[in-house]
Amino acid sequence: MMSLCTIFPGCLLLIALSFSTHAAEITKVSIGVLAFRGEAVAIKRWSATAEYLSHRIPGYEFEIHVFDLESMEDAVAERELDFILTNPGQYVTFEVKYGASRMVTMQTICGGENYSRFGSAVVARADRKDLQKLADVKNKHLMAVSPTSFGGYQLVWRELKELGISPKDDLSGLTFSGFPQDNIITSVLKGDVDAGIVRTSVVERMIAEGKLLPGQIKVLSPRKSNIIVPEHSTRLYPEWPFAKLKHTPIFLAKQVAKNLLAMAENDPAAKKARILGWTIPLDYTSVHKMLRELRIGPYVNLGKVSIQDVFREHALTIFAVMLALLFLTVSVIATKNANRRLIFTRKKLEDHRQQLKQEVASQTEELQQVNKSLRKDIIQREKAENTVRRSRKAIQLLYEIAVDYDRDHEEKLNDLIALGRRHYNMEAGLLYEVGHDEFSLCILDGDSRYTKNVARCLKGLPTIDDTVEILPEHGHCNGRGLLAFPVVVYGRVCCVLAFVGEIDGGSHSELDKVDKDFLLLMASRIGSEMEYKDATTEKELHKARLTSIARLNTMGQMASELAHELNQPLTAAQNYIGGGLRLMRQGVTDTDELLVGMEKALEGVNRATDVIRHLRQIVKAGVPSKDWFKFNDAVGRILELLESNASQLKVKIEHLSHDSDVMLWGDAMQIEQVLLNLVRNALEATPPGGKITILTECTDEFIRVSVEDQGSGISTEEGESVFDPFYTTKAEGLGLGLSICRAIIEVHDGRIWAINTIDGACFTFELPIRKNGEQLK
Amino acid sequence: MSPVVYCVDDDLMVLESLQWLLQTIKLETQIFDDSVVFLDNYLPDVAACIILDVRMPEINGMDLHLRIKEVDPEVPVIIVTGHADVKMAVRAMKEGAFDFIEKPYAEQQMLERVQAAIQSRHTSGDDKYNESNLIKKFDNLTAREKQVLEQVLKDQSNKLIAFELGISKKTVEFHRGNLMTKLDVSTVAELVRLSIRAGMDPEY
Repeated sequence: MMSLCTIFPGCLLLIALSFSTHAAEITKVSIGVLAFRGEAVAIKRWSATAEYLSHRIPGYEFEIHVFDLESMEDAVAERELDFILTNPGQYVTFEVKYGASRMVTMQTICGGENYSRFGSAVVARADRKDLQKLADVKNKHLMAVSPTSFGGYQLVWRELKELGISPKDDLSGLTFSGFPQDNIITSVLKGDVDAGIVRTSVVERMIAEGKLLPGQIKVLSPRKSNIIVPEHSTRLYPEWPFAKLKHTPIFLAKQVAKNLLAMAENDPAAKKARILGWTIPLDYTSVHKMLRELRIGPYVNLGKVSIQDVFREHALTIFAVMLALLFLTVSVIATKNANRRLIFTRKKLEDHRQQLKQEVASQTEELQQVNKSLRKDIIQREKAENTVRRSRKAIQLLYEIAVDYDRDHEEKLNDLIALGRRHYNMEAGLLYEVGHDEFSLCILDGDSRYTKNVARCLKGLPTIDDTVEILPEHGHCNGRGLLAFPVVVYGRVCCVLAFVGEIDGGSHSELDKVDKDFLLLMASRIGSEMEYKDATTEKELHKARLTSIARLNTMGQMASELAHELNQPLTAAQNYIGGGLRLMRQGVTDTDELLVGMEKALEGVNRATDVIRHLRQIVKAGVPSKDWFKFNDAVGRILELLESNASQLKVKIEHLSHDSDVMLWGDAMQIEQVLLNLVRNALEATPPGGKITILTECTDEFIRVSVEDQGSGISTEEGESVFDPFYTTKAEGLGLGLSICRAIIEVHDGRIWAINTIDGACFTFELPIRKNGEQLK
Repeated sequence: MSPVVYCVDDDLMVLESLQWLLQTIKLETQIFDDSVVFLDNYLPDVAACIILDVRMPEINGMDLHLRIKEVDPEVPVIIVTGHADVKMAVRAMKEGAFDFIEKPYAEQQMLERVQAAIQSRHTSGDDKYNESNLIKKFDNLTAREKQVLEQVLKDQSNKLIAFELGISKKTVEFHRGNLMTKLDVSTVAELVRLSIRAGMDPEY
């Protein structure tokens, strides 16, 4: 770094030296100067500066070439010039167009003051009251230097434009006087025009030269800036720049700039140029801005198509376009929204479609499942229908066999088993009776080879409560399948219905539940047949069972009653005897008292003896020994028994019988007991001289026996209770007689009742009888 | 005022004999052969003891007992029956009867029980059957005898007890006899009464 720094100036120096030696003859440097007050004036003014530079920068000879605005541009475009000195407006134009760049800015002098900025002043005669502000120039006659004059016209133009005043349209007149600007002041003073445009410091110079008296002229909208500048009506802009052009060598430009900056204010060159020397380059942005607004200089094209102008001239069109644009924007937004919605909707639609697709897929699958199961169902139903059809036929046949009265029991069983075997294409149908330890064959239909094997197989089963199916694989029945069904008779499995079938037929192992149910039904039908067959015997057995139960009840009741009847007198006797003994032990010697006790005790014992006597009869009655007996014989025996008794009581007993040969099934002794009881009661009830009538009537179904007395009859309170045990109206009665009578009659399927007649009471019982044919059986 | 014993039985013969017996030990007796009449005329706190027969028309002894207890809960009642079963005995004792005696009875037993009943009316204790004595008696029973007793109290027949315990009927009869002797009772009714007093709770 250090070495570079040190070398660089050396190099520079070397180049400079070689340059100077190479151009030893002298290089001409052209400085273009804008001459706004005529060529002569300009040359006179700036040639000293050229000399100053030539003198200061060896090897170069600076020459001043003066131009007006147009020719200057031509020269710059042709690259004829190395440096230019022109007004800020043109400089900015060249900056933009030809790459000119300012190096220093002129410092002017005015009233002994030094400044590097200037503006324009719009002046009017001091006595013009109607002209105070810049805006007042509207519709007035204005005078300026020229349309291209920067300080003499353009600066004011900008201000007016901002005030909305077009110099072209809004002034009553615009006259360009050209240089010098003194003419404008003169015209204003003379009243040729209402106001004039001059550069700052012109008025002050004229006053200083004595061409104008102070107070004769006033400045409109005078501005005072912080920089000390004479009165002006416009903004201030930087003074003229001294600029290099694009092709100008930089080192030369530097030399020029350095020397110009170094120019003292009292230098002859400065004096000649009427300036205070040069200062560092100022910022020309304000100039750019001004030119852009006025659409002049580099912005002349821009100015032509300025939005404002276009707007002003084509307001309607623009409005329409704007409207169209607005509409378009709105449309675009709307479209965009619609588009967004569309995208959203499309996405939703896509989702829906996906969902739908899935749904359809799942439903299709479901449907297929349903279809599958439906097909399965149909097959099963067809199978079931077939089975039902077959079963229906079988059931009809079964029914026909069951209700056929021409076939006897054995035939029916044979036919039923044959039906089952044939219908299901079995080889053998077998009916076994279930014994204690074995199965004995009752009926066989079909092949007889399997009887022993089936029996053995059935024996191996724990229970046969429901359908049993043994597949042929088990090898029990010569490689055949076996079906076994319980035959229930009176709630007990007493037989087993079995079917043996072939494998190749295939039907037996595939027998449906319906078929099995049918065979089970058949088994139960066989059971019913057997029950029916046993019905008669069973009925009688049943009755006997009932009878014995009834008798047991009667006897149990009797025993209880008898115990009581015995206990009472025995207890009494015991009390008397026990008490008597006690008295005697106590040494009581009152024999009368003891006597009473002993008599009472004897009374009790006697009563007990009575009961015992009755008991014998009852026990006798309790022994069941049923047989056929002739009813009239029984009556005869009773009458015989009671004959003496009746004659003692002077009561006559009459027996009226319609059928002397009627036979009864039952216990003759018990029936006699009943008769005995009834007749004895009648004897006791009937007063001496009275009559007892025994009437026997027979119908086809029953025999009716009545015992009529001539006693006091049965009181209404007594009613049916006369048959209750221990009901008695007699002093010494036990009250068991009628109770036992009823029990006996009921055991013989008969009934007994009592009514009052005119003479007394009538006790009647009915017993069922059997015909002669049945009696023989 | 000497204690009055009330006797109710529909059998006048028995009633009179009982009266005669009780007079031999100088007990004043009132007899009723109609339970309804008795109930209508009953005055609480007058009777020293009441003897009821179970078998009576209109209101039987068991029901009459309950009715008496309603109006006179403290009076000792001896229930007498000719056809006692365990069920009836258990019921009577549970319903608060003083004793349950089966007919026919030894007159000595009856007199003792009546005297004990009269005694209990004044002193709440019963010396012969006081609890420590009772428990001692029951403790003397063998395990098998206790098992048999339990079954007897359930009103099981000897045959059924034999089946339940897996022993022969003869053995049951033997145990039953033994336990009756050990407990000093002669009737099932007495057995039930003692068992209840000893804290057993037979179910029926």
